[in-house]
Amino acid sequence: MEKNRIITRRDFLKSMARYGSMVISLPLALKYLGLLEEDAYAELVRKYPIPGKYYKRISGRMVRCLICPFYCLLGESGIGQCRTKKNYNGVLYTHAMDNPCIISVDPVEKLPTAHYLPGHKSLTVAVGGCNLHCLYCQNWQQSQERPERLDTVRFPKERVPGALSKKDLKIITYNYTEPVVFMEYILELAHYSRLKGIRHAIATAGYINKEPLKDLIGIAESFTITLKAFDDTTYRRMTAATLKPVLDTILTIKESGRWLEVVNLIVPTYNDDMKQIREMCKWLLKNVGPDVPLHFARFVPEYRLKNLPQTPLSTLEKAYNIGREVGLHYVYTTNVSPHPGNDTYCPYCGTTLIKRVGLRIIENNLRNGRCSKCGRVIPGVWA
Amino acid sequence: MDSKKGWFSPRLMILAMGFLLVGGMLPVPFIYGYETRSLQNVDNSAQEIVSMMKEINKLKHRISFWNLFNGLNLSQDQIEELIAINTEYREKLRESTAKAIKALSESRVSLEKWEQAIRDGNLPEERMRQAGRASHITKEFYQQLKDIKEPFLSRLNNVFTDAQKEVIRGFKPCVVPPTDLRDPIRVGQASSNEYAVRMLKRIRSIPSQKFPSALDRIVDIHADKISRRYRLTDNEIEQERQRMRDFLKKVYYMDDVDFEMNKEELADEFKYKDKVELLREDLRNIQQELHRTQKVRDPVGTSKIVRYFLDPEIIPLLQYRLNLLRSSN
Ligand code: SF4
Repeated sequence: MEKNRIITRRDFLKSMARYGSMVISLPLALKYLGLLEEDAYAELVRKYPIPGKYYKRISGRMVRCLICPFYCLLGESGIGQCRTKKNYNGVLYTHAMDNPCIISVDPVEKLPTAHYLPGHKSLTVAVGGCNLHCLYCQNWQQSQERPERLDTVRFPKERVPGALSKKDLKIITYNYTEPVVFMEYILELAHYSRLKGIRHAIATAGYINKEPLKDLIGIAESFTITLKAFDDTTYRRMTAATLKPVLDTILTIKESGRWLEVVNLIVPTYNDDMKQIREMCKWLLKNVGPDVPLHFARFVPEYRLKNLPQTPLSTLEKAYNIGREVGLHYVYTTNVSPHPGNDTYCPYCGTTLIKRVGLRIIENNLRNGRCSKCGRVIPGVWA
Repeated sequence: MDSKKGWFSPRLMILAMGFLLVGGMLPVPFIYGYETRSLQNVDNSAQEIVSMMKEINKLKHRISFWNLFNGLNLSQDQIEELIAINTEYREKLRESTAKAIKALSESRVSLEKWEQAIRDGNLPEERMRQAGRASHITKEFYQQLKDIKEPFLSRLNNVFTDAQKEVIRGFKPCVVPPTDLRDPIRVGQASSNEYAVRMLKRIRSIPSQKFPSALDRIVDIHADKISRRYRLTDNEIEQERQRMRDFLKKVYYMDDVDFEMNKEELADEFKYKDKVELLREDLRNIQQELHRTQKVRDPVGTSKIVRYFLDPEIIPLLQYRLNLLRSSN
């Protein structure tokens, strides 16, 4: 009897091989039988339920995502337009958590921003996916792909403070892809690092519903919103999104008192109509005031618009002049440097306050957020 | 002996050239014409090559000019002002050369005669005096040219904005413009995934059991490549092998986040820098230091602005661009 209970090494290895191979081959077998869809194996590893307030159960296992104005209606295993949300058994999950495809150290000017901590460096974090499908996206390899299919880095919230302190950074910027679609991750990072004095700035297309936007406003100090065009048809044609929700986002951020800058990328033949640009400037002046900086950015052929030329300098200059004529105090030309439109001028006495070459600052004449010559306050986050 | 040998080191030579170039003391023909000058004495049959080289160098200079020009985004007003300055400068040059031509041709005759005298081993007093005077005349002429330039410098300097001057200062002559001029990094654009970073990522993805042998192979290939490209001693190659081995191990075992946050610096460290490259780095640092001091010593920052933008030959080029600009408006 005693003898029978002894397990030989051979027996042990045999049984390990048998059960081990069963465990390993189970998902493969399920996949072969069609019971497990192609990338679900990877998804089993990492998925996070999103807060209940961001989606609604419709009927049975159907859910509707409430994060952005697309309001995706998802059946079992359905994936949202943004490629980051998925319905598992009537619960909406995100795949965009702790897995950025880009982590880099950049100047904050890359958002772009001209009045938010000029000359500071930040840690930029981006996760794959986007709810918009801009024809000219310059980061389309990341934005038009599911986050779990990209080459990513595991970067959970616990690692953030350490990573920042190694490079002596105090700011995290969310840029390159669309922060709206990985906002659960942003909120996690922000809540975890709140007590450590870490600041957050977001560059977004602003296609988001009011409730989730308020949550982002709660944690971010600065927003750069890309206003892609000023008429709905062009907006749809260029991005698959609509204009109204973006304008609402701009208004909500302005009302909240957070720092706001607006970018308009001028794409030849799409949104380079000067009448439309004038309308946009007037709307901004009327609704958010003259002190919100407006950047006119040069388009460079990318993605699906490789057939177009880059925006002529003269077009950018015309738009720049219109912005100034209309009465906006801080108008900029972006993606074209050196250019007088890169610099910040005092709207009262005309002094050049910040001189820039590209994303670099070569002279800063601001004194405690005031013009060094006339002493007037220049709006922005300067320290 | 040793100290004498060390005195005329190539390092010193390059630094000295750098100083001269930065200070704008070498005239343009020296910079663009040195290759042709050495060919001139070869043989008559080389004449065609000499003139071809001259043409090529001129073309290279013009291409460089265009690369710089395209990176400056000059406005219509700025181009018009540059044309006006150069047209005036051309007139002044014409006037003074017309006056100087007689004196210069006399100087040439004097110097030719002096050469003959020296060749024959004679040193006649009179000829010596004439030669001295001739040499003085040429020096005076150079001074005159400098004096003509002088009033244009501040005007020229006022044409450019500070940001444009910054670009001009950092500009190096080139046929193919560097990435920061050709396709500067844009707002909202993820940094270019440059070749070195991609290579490092590939190395990091090697399975751990294969890494030791892969490391040996990579280091061998690297050593072979650099020893063929640069003239290195065995000792230097061995040092570089060790450096690369240590570096790749560091990169391989580095944490993902650390790698991502430091990838630009790592990519830079990955590249082999030979002595010349290190010297260039030294030179760049000295140049930067010089620029800072030059701002005080030479407030108009003349060297490169003058080299590229005070030259009557650019008038038709500017005119061409101005027409293009006008028609696009
Ligand atoms: S966030 Fe994504 S899933 Fe949600 S509505 Fe927008 S596109 Fe659809």
